[in-house]
Amino acid sequence: MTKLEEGEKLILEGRKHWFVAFTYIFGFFLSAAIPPVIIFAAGKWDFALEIINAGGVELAYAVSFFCFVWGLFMWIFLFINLTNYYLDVWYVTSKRLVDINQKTLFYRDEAVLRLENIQDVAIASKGIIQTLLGFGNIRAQTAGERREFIMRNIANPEHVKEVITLEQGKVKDKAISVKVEEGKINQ
Amino acid sequence: MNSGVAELLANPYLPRVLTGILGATFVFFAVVSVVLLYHWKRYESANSRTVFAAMLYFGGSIILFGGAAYYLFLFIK
Repeated sequence: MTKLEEGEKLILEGRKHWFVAFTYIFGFFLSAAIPPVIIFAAGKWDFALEIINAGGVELAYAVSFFCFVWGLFMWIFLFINLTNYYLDVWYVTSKRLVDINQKTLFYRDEAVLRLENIQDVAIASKGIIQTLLGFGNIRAQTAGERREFIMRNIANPEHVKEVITLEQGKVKDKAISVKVEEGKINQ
Repeated sequence: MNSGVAELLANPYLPRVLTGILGATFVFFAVVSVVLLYHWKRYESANSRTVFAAMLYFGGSIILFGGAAYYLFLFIK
């Protein structure tokens, strides 16, 4: 959780769509199954059968050992990916848009954008999967140093855009009312 | 080729090589586990989720590591 400023409220907290996590889990099962599938298929090839017969039970033990080691590596990589997925988070607060981009375990990038600096918010869903499952990218354009602010594979981007626009409106209204008050005092 | 496989399996250094592979895997696993635990503790505020993730991760790792060690034991024996 990011630290909030004084008087700042957390409005929305979000992560990438669950489909992203699903691709990691699916990828794990697929890659972990590769060695057993190859071994199973090898039983149908004559040259492989000869090797299996020559190796006997010791070969079976060695191959099983490598299958488990391979599975362990895939398991470790699955959790690295899921950790990166889980820690890649963004927040909409009453004052700011905070995007924490966890690319790898040792690459964490935190970008902060003040709502009053946002010029335009655009959403984009590309392809069948993103359109059907309702996720996509949100791009906020600013006049500041970092001109584009992109949050990728966000679930329900339309709702997030609405919330950002609403909160930005509130911030701008507050700024206008402060200026009006200052004008009255100066008069 | 068949005799080559039999010769390879009969190599007296093979059990040591396999044990070395398992040892290196364990070192890699230990290093990654420390890094993952650090991230879970530092960035996750809900303790229950950290405990669940750790149980799942270490539970699965023990099964896979145990399987590898078991077949290595059978191979050496």
